[in-house]
Amino acid sequence: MKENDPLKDMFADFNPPMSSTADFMARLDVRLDAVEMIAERTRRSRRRSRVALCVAALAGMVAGALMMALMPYFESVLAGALQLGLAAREYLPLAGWAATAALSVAAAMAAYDISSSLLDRQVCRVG
Amino acid sequence: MNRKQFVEYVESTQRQLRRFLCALCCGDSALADDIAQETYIKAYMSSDGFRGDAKFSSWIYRIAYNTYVSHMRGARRTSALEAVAEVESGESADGTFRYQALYASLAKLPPAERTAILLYYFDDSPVKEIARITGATENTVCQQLSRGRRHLRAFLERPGL
Repeated sequence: MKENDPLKDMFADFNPPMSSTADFMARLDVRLDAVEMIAERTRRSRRRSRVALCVAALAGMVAGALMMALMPYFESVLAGALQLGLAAREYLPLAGWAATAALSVAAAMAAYDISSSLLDRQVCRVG
Repeated sequence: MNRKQFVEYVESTQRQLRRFLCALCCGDSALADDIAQETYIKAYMSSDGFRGDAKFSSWIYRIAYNTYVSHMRGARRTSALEAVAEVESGESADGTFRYQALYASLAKLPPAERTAILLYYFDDSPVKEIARITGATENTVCQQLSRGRRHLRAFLERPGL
């Protein structure tokens, strides 16, 4: 199909002026370095947030378990201190559960912040 | 694919790719270089998805073609292409303007025809591979080649070119 095709000869001769291969490769090298640096930072950041998330979940569970274990004690102390009537005492477990949930969430959030800032410092020291 | 392997692949394909892109951009070698750089960066970022059984150059040409198309969509450089087409061929003796007639003729072809023609003549790519690179069917590529050849010959045979 390409035999006796004048276009074939014309394209075979085509050799336009272009920047040198060394310049092109040097420019590409710089850009590849930047891509690798960004990819590495993204990888580290993902790893960091995964670890911080695990720590936060663990802290939340521990706080929740502690609160649950101590709930009967808190209930009796509160009921005695506030001199609550029987009707009001029925609502104490509900308040206890709400307090447990709030404390677990607060513990998890604090643990996430602390662990991610500690991991950030570690990364800064290493890298 | 690690960086060393990738750089080796790039070294073996960059000259041909830049030549192809230079013609595709109708002689704008700076734009061709930019698109080539962007192509290789995209390829490097998705090099995990490159299957060893496919030809590296075909994969690169496909990325380059898509990069070129999205660039043209964004930049709307048609006015620049028209300007190239209007350059007088009297300057063609000069080294810089050596390919002016060719660029002017290529600029008048629709991008799909231009791509098919360039892949066919530069890279000796078979129709099947051109179809894979451009995402068209083999029949469409055959039509583009035939139309492109006819148009290119007509433009080049015009008096004054």
